[in-house]
Formats: sequence, C-alpha cells, structure tokens
Amino acid sequence: MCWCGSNIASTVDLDRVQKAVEKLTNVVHVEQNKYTCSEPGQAQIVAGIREHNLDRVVVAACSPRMHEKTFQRTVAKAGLNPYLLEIANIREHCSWVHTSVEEATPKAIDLLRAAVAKVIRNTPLTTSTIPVEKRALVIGGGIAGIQAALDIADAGHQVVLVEKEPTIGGRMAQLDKTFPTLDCSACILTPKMVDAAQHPKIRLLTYAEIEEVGGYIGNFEVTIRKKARSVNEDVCTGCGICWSKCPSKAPNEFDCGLGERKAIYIPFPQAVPNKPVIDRENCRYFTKGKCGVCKKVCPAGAVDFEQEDELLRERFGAIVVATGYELFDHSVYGEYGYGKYPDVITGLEFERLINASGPTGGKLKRPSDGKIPKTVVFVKCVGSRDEAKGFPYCSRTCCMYTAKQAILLREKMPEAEAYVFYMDVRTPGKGYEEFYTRATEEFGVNYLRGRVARIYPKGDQLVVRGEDTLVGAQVEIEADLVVLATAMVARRDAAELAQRIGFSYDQYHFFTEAHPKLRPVETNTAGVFLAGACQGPKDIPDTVAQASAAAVKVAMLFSRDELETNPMVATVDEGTCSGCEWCKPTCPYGAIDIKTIEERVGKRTVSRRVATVNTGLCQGCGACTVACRSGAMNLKGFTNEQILAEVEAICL
Amino acid sequence: MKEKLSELKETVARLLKDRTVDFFIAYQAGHSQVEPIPFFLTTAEHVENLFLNNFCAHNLSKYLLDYLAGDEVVGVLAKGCDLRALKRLLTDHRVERGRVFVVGLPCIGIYDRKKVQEVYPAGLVEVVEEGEEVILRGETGDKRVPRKEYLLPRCLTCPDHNPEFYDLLLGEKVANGPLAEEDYSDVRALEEWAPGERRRYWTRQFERCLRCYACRNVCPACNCRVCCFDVAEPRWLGKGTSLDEQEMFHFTRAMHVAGRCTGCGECERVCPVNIPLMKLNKKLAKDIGALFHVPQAEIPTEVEPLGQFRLGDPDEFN
Amino acid sequence: MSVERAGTGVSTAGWEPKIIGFCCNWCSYAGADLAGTSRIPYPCNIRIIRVPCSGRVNPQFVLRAFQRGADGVLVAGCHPGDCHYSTGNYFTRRRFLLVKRLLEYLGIEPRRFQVRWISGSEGQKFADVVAEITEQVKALGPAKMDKMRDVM
Repeated sequence: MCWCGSNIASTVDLDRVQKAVEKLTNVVHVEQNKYTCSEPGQAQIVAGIREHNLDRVVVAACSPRMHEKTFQRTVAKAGLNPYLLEIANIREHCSWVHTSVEEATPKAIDLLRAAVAKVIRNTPLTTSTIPVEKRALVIGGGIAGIQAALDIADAGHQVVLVEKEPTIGGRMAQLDKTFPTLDCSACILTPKMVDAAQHPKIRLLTYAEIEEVGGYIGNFEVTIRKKARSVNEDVCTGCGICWSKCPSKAPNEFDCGLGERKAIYIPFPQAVPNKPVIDRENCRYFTKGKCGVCKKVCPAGAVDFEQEDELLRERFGAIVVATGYELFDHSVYGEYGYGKYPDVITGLEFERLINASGPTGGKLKRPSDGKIPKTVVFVKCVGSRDEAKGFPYCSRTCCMYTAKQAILLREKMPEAEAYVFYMDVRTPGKGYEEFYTRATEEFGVNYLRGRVARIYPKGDQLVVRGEDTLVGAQVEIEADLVVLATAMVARRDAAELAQRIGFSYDQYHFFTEAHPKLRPVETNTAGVFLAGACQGPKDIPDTVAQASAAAVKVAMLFSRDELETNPMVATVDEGTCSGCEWCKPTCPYGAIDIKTIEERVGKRTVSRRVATVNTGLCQGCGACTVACRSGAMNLKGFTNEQILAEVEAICL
Repeated sequence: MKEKLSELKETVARLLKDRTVDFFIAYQAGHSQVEPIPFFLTTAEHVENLFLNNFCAHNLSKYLLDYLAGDEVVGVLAKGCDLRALKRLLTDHRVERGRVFVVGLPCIGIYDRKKVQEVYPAGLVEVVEEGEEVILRGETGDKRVPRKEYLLPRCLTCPDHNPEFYDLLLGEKVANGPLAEEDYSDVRALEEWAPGERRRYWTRQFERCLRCYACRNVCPACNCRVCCFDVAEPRWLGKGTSLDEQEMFHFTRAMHVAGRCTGCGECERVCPVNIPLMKLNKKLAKDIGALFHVPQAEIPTEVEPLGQFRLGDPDEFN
Repeated sequence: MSVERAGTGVSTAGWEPKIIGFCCNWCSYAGADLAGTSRIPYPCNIRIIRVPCSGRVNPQFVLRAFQRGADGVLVAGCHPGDCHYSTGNYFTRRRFLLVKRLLEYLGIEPRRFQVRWISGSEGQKFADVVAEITEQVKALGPAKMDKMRDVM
C-alpha cells in the first residue's frame, strides 16, 4: 500500500486498511511504503515476494493506467509472472476525490478487497511474439497506391503493388490539368509511375486482383490472381507493332468510351508497364478463332494465346488499401438526360475531351456532331448532397474541378461562355479560394446559385433550365455542351474487398478508419491501412498526404523484427462451446472462426464445431464473452470469474 | 385427424423401411386423451402405436439435440410452431438440416389441456371442431364451448398454421393467418402497474419456482451444450432457492432467450407451478420490436437482434 | 457544479448506498482518473470495476451486484462512435436498453441501474453522474434484492 507521500496517506487511514486487509483469506503479507513506484519502493516489493514466497501481488496506489506496467515489471523482477498483479486504485478513485478519512478509508478497504478477490483468480499470461514479415502489399495503383508504395520502398522495405487494370496510374492519369496550379496531370504523375516501376524494392503486378487474404498483422497470407494478359511480359519490349496492326477495335475505357482502342492495347501511351494486354472479349482470335496477326508481327514472340490466370501466394506484414473511387451513376437523374443526349457528359469525360492525348487530340469537340461548343454549362452536386437521389455527403473535389474545367475552357476558347450551376462553393484548401476567384473574376465564368431542374434538346442545342436563387428567377441557358460534376462513390466491389481482408466500411461502402480524428489511416484491423479516396472523397493533395501517412505506419511496423501479442485475449472453452456462432458478429476484428474438432463419445469418434479465436487479430475487448450464453467464451485478464469475484467482494 | 393419423403411420413406416430416416419422433398416447407424449420410433413395426390429436403440444424438434453425436437422419413431425423452433436450432448451428427429415403437420390450434380439464376433469373422448366452436365429447356427454377460449395462448397469435418448410406435408395445407393480432396486451397491462405492485407480483411468481429447469429444457432457444446454470465455476447462479437466486435465474433465462425466443410458449406450458414465463419473453420481444425495428421478433433471423446494432439505435444513456 | 459535500457524509439513518460502477478502461475509467487528478470531489458511494470495454459487461454482472446487496449500478463507456474497439458500445447500448426495461418491468426502480457515456476528458461529467446517481439511489432507499418481499 502506497502513501504516495501524503496524496493517499492524508485521506486514507492506511493502518486501518492494513488491519482489515490482513484478515482477508489468502492475504499473507501487507506492507506500506511512502512511494511505491520509487526505486526503494519497488525493491521492497521484490524483497517481499521473495521473503514470503508470494504468488500474487496487489499494489494499492495510483491508477493502473499510470503504473500498472511499472509494477508488472517489478513483480517480474522477482520471478513472478507480470499478470499475477492487480492494482487497487486508491488515489485517483479515492483519496483525491474524497476529503474525509471516514469516507475514503472504508472505500479503500472495499477496493483492496476487490483487488484481492480478483488477483487470486489471475492466471499467468504470456506474451508471445510474432515475427514481422517485412513486405508490404499495396492494393491499387492510383496516385495513393503509387505514393504509399514509393514511400515504403524508400524506407527500405519490399513492396508488391497490385493493380487490377493493365496499367498503374489510376484516375489521376485520366485528368488533364490539376487544380489549383494547373499543372498537367500526366506531367507530374508519369514520372512517379516510372519511379514505381523501376524501384528495386517495388514489384508491380498489374492486371491482377486480390483473391484471398488470411492471417493477421505481421503475417498476412494473400492470394493474388494475375489475370492472363496473353502477352509474355518478360519478353515484350512494348514496341507497339502488335496494336498498330491489330484489326479489332473496342471503345477505350481510359477515354471513358469516347475514343477507340485495339483488342491488343495499352490503355494510354504512357502506360506502366508499357506492355499490352489482349482484351479477349473483343479479340478476333478468341472470338472467331481466326486472326493471330499480333502473334505473327511480334518481333519478340511475346504473344501467348494459351496464357492462363496465375494464382500467386505471398506473405506480407502489412497491407495498404488504396483502391480509389468510382463516379456516381447519374442515370437516376433522368431529367438531366445522360445517355439520352450525347452532349450531356461527366466531368471525367470533359477531362478526356480537353486532353491533348485524348480522343479529340485536345480539341474540345462535342460528342454528338464534333462541333466546337460555344456555350458550356457545368452542373455541380450531381449525386452529392442529395439524399433523395444520391448521397448526403459532399464529394469535396467537384467545386474545384468544375472551376478548373471552366477556366480551361475559357483559356482554350476565350469566345466560349461558361456557366456553373452550384449549391455552394466550397474551397477549403491551400490556394483554392484564390483559384475560384480567378475563375469568376479573371476568366469571367458565370456562377448561378441553384439546382438544375431539367435539360432538354432544342434544335442541336440543349436547354438547361434551373433556378437562380440569388435573383429568385428561372433561368434557361441554351448550351452546346453540359458537364455534370458527378459524386465520388465507393467502388462497387469495395464491400467485398473489405470483407475479404476483414475490416469495416460505412453505409456508403467507403472504408472506415480506426478513429475519425486520431487514427485516420488505420483500419480497425491491425496491420491494414488506408490511403486515398477508398476511405472517402478526397482530392490529390489529401490523397498523397494520407498515402505517405499510411506508408509511415507501415514503416513503423517494419521497424520491429517481432510484435508482442496482447495476452489478454478471448479464449474458448471447447468443452462448453456449442458452436452456435453468436459470438462472431460481435467481433470487430473478425478474430473468431469456427473449427471442427473430433472427440470420443462412447465408442464413436464424432466431430463437432467450436469457436476459435485468432490471437493475432483479437484485441481483447470482450464483446464476444457477453454474446456467449454458456460462458464458453472468456477473456483472459478480465474473466467472468474475476469480475464476479470483484462484484461479490465489493458487496460484502 | 383420423385420416392424418393413418397417413402418418403409412409415411413413418415407409420412411423407416426405405432407410430415409433412422429414427422418427412423433407422438403416442399418454395417460389420457389430453396428454399425448413423445414417441421415438426405430422400426416400422411400432407405427401402430402412433397417436395424433389436437392436444399434441410438445415441440418434438428439441429432441433432435439428443442425436447430435451420430450421423443418423432423424425424422420429426413438426407443426408450424415446432418448425420455427427447428429453425432456431438450425440458425444456432445446433442441428444440421441434412440430418433432419421434416414431416410437416398443418395445424389450426392445439387445445390447452389445463383449461379443458377444468370443465372435463376426466373421461374426455374427443374434441370435434365446428367453426368457431368446439364440442368436448366425453363419456358423460357433450359440451359446446367457444374454440378460441380453449386453445393454447400461442395458437391464438400463431402466424404459421402450415410449417414454413418441410420435406413432406401431412394432408393438405390449411388457411393461414393468426386468429388474433399479437398486441402484447398482457405485457402492457403489467407495465401499467405501479412499480411496487409489479415487484410484489413477480415476487409471488418467483417464490413458487422449484428450479426444476423444465422451462429451460423444453425451450428451443435454450440449446447450449452446457448451460451456465449447470456449471460450478464461474458460479452464475447459486444452488439455493432463495428469492434472489430465483430472480437471478429468471432474469438470466429471459435475457438468454431475448431476441431468440420463438414464442412457442412451451416454457409456460410445462411449468409445474404456472409461472407466467411468457410475460417475460413477450416483454423482451415487444421491446426488441419497438426499439430496434424488428417487425417479427420471434422469427429466427441470420443475425440475432442483440448480435447486431444500428448507428441510429435509440440512445438514452447520455 | 452540483456536487456538494453535504449529504455525502454519514447519514443520520446510518445507511449509505453502495453503488457499483463498471467503467471501460479507455474512456470512463480514464474519466474517473481525470476527476481524481483534477480533484473534483464526488460522493464516496461508488466502487469502480475496470473492464476493457462496456461491451464486456454481462447483464448478469449487473444483476449479481444487486443480488449481493448493491443499491445502484452504473455502466459507463465511451460515447457511441468513440469506442476504442470501434463497435463495443453499440452492443452495450442495445443490450442495456433492454435490460433497463426488463428490470423496470420486474419492479426494480429504473434509476438504480444507469448506463452513461463518459469520455476520458469528462472528469467533471463523471463526478456529476456519480453525484446524481448517489442522490437518486439515496432517495430510493436500500434495494435489498435478497429480501425482495420487503422492497417498496
């Protein structure tokens, strides 16, 4: 029992407590000291353990959140398992909040009695260590994944970067210029793509997907499906003869279908790796069995029609998920006529139309008849901030990219008019407000506050009818081209991926960070980190910042050779467990599995299902224990027996 | 009923003969007409002893737990309520669907033995249903009474006159739909009482408890391999029958079936001292329905109401 | 602040309620620690049992406390959304919404059993909650669950 100078001793009559505690069953030795956490105080505990051959220790002192670790080390010094110690918090919970000795002393006795009742039910717990496989898996080869992979690799660790498309680059590669600086997107991105490809510590796996994830922090086992490219990457030189001679054409996904590509293709000229892939659905050889032109013309003999999907099993210590986003399917806004009127396009399609390497060579021609538009209307918040038809959240990037697109339009074609329908203009970023001001003042973009009610054709134009709420009047604009700023949404397979890896996602299927403020790049599954728009709508600067943050978390993890496991984990009494599985849904870590055990019943061997806890995943919250009616699931360090004993001891 | 019984005999004989099932669980005659008892058949020769009338209340699917260890296929006769109980066992992964052969029994209501015995202490020969009325035919004469008043409580609000699924159905399906809406009127009435009155009410109920565990043993939701009431350590419950232990028992039992009770009312039916256990179960079902928007709290679902949550659940704990 | 020393001393009747508090390690136990380091006084009737998460609190623990003579029970955890284990307290909330109603249905005065969200920074709130529950339970008198017939 610690005096803590006078912090405890002045309010708690420790002599009276000592008399009471000495009478408790199992208590063989009680002593007081002035500062138990001090060097001599700790030495006294060690001596006490040795002298009295103690196998359990209670320290009545300050909060266990303060010195539990200190005293665990102390008892360990005396050769005792550190988990055979309990702390009675008689300072923060007693002497500091009660002023009279008559109040504090009986309470201190109760707290000690509870600690004694608990400690005699403590069992030795051992921390095991698990080795850390110092290799990281980055899923998604957009700017987030590239940045995370580069940072981890620069920290000296092996990285496998998995991208499901034939090239890395992601959404950023599709953009023309970036706000608020108007750098060319490709100019700043492609060098990073090349860096990633050439980095000795990074292995790119493009045209590949995650098939299965098992294991836990430090030791994930991942199966990656490398889809058949039909081109031997090792011998292909990327000379391009194959795609120049290929007779089959298909819409180019990279250009949002606005242009065409061949059946054997690279998505865009700066693709990394610069190795083509055969789109078997559109290839004549695969659909009609006749052709093989690419194979004939390939000087390296790289085309391989027989290639099959390959399953790779790899071990990783950490996973960074950077799978990005998709655009909202705004066909639900029938009144905006997307799909019906070819000149109603999305912001991303606008990026491709205005890009020098896009389908129109950078000349903004409208899709319907190739005419140069004179009047362009931009509509913001299509699917964002609209609970009725889309999502209640703000997509964060649209205000800025709409301003950027209007500026690009006015810069390229000063004679064209730009109108923007908006709900609010949100510019919370460095240089963003200034950029928006330039759009309105320097470039004369017309901003109209209000929602667009309808878009309908008139001659070869589109009439955009909406309300200007600032003037309080209906406005109709006859436009040649309408650009919709569609919401950023989670990828359609996001939930499936989260389930496969085992972490949580929100109602919109964006991945959930472990804490909204303080742990923004971790997931609730240890060893799995998030980067970029897969966690929520984000622009490029925020994405890159989060990617680097995730990389640091991985590097921190890899700075250790071994991880100590938390010994206070859930444990299953297999004899009692019914295998009902009701514990499973309460586990936030997916740490509970079902296994089949065999046992003898009479003369037969029968098999039976029981729950099992993955101690690498379990964080020791104990939610499962309450879901378990039979008490088969228990939590080490906070067992049912211990807590019931504490309750009974206090109530005595 | 007679046609159904002969069809049942035929069916069970066939299933046992062609080895579709290794056992069959149905009913046989008990001490009297109103007390049929479970019957476990292993051979077709015993089918003559099968019995069926509108007092066959027992939920037979609970007995499936006794056959967990082997690999036999067990046939079981199941009414709508029994099937819901079986669904509970399946959802709790206690029974494998592939090892159960369900012979479904359409049912429009089972009579409450205790109520019938009040008007007909002995010598009941049969009951004849006539629309809204029922004729209790005894050795000493007939008595015509309103049907609803003599049914088991669960039968009044039963939504499943036909079992939800089965491998084989006995006879034709009957018209579905409950005779009365579940309005939790018993629970609501008790909620209106003053707290002290309620306390005294439950004290009177619990002090009668013999701790025979019949309520637990018959309950399809109480299907743990080892029950927490039977373990010595941790001591969830003392062995004594002091009032506090009784209350601990009833509280724990109710919480353990919260969100999992199928509403069959077997616990209450088998209680030898008539403790109104369904008033506890229904209270929880009612609150679960209202608080967590579970429209049918007594139908087993993939994840039980207490094994899930919604961010928008009511919060009164600030 | 509502906590006064008055009324927390030995009462004339000689009876002082005993209240058990189950506090989650990460928020409410830390909140209680903060009340201590900030020297915010509160009634001495509460005894805290540390649990990793409010989701660890089995309703049977609560009933056992009453059974053994506790006059009030407090379960305290992180605010919804702030759970250290991300979802534990959502289960706590569901479970104890039911328990509270069931106890009331059994005739146990609902103020004897309370669930509160108290964060690690809410030392004052912790003290206020303890003062409030102590006052309420004191007004109700002993729970005496083991002597059920005599209650109320």
